[in-house]
Amino acid sequence: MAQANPLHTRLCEAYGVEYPIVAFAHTKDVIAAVSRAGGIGVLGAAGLDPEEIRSAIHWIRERVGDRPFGVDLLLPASFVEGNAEDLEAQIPDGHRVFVQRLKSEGNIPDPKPLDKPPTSGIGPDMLRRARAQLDVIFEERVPIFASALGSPAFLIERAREAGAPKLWGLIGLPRQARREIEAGVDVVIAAGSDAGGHSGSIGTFSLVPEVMRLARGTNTLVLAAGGVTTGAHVAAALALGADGVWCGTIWQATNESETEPFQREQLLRSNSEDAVQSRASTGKPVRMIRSKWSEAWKQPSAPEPLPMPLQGMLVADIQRAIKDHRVEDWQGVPSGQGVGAITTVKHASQVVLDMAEEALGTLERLRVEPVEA
Amino acid sequence: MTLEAGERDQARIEFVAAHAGRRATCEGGGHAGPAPGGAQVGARQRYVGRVSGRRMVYGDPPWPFLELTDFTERPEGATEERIWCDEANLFFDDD
Ligand SMILES: Cc1cc2nc3c(=O)[nH]c(=O)nc-3n(C[C@H](O)[C@H](O)[C@H](O)COP(=O)(O)O)c2cc1C
Repeated sequence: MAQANPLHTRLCEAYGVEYPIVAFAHTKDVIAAVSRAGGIGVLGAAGLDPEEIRSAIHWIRERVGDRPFGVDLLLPASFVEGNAEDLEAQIPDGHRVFVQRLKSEGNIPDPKPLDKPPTSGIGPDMLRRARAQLDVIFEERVPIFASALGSPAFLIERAREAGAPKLWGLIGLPRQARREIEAGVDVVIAAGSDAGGHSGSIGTFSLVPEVMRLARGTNTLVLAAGGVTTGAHVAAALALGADGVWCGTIWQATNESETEPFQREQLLRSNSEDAVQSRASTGKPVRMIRSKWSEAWKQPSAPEPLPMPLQGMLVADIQRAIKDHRVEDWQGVPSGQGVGAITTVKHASQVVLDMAEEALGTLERLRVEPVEA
Repeated sequence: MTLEAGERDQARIEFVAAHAGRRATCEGGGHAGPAPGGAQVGARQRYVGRVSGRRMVYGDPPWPFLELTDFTERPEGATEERIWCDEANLFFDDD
């Protein structure tokens, strides 16, 4: 009897793709390569202005044609009132002195001048900016919109009326998933604590089956995220009942990614223990590869990092300088705990094909032939 | 919320008496800024407190937020006394 293809999940059916593999990345070349290879690429566009998003969409569309792709934004799930001047005044002098000390000890030059003002992480700015970015996604009829934090549920009516985009939401807790499923969000991405970037407190293995139970009998599909770097992880996610996987870290180690060569090297030589959570860059824990920067904030003489958004304001210039002047040992690339499985740099399309082949091989090995009665 | 003049019509603030005083958790968070290497990252932040009853609806389609205050739990190091929480991420204790 012919076996059905176990990789052909409901996600493949609903979006007309070959593999249930979704790539989150900040480089548009990765997005185009993944969508062309039979997966789905979703561009992290939180740092882009509306017109930059528009031109990235045009660029991707020229390369992928009718194949699905998406854009991801950081919609706020909460925000604080206030303005930048009031907040600046709350930064203690001792913290400023400490940052100056790191700058001179590390021989870190001044940052290059900015060609546009930095994006503020402060409440009202986030709303204004998100709205303007969302308008472009609707105007350009992007097939998929993914929301990193806030629920995309308020956009459902507009999206249904317009016929696009499909709405996807990242969640870290079952109750967030329940809300989004009840609202009729098209896909929930259950992101476990192993993930790179922002992550909740529940591990992928525990979160995914719980979210699957909540989605059972509804039209909402579920993707597993956090630590997915190989085909064996894809097979495991499908075994947990997921309709596919969403991964981030692995694409930073592809030829198409704009990741700096030394950052790729960091990813290749790191394992799960090196992917530490540090509050030193933003005030909130971000999982990244250990570096002189993350270590400096752990010294006994270091002050506690400030809360968000003060820490980000405090360190914005030095972080920019570290990046501008490629001060390599002071930069730790954001990474999930699955980093230990990344051993070579490949083309993004090859990552998709290898993951799919390994997933099929894994599932084949596990398949138990029915015993003759 | 410090909104500029032309935007005031976009943000409607109303009072929802039925919610005022109810205890709730906000599974919040937002844009945290650039991480090393420059990629923008977000962060999840949990607050537990009391809903003031103020509700802010921003733009069209309406994007609703509820005000949470009197915190019994705040993210590490946070000092703010009130936040606006995305209504879809606010969970009442008595629900
Ligand atoms: C450098 C980096 C930046 C990230 N920024 C975002 C973001 O802007 N929006 C978002 O939804 N998720 C972001 N994430 C999280 C990813 O969407 C995804 O959930 C995560 O990478 C999955 O775990 P993995 O890294 O183990 O594959 C980021 C992840 C990394 C590694």
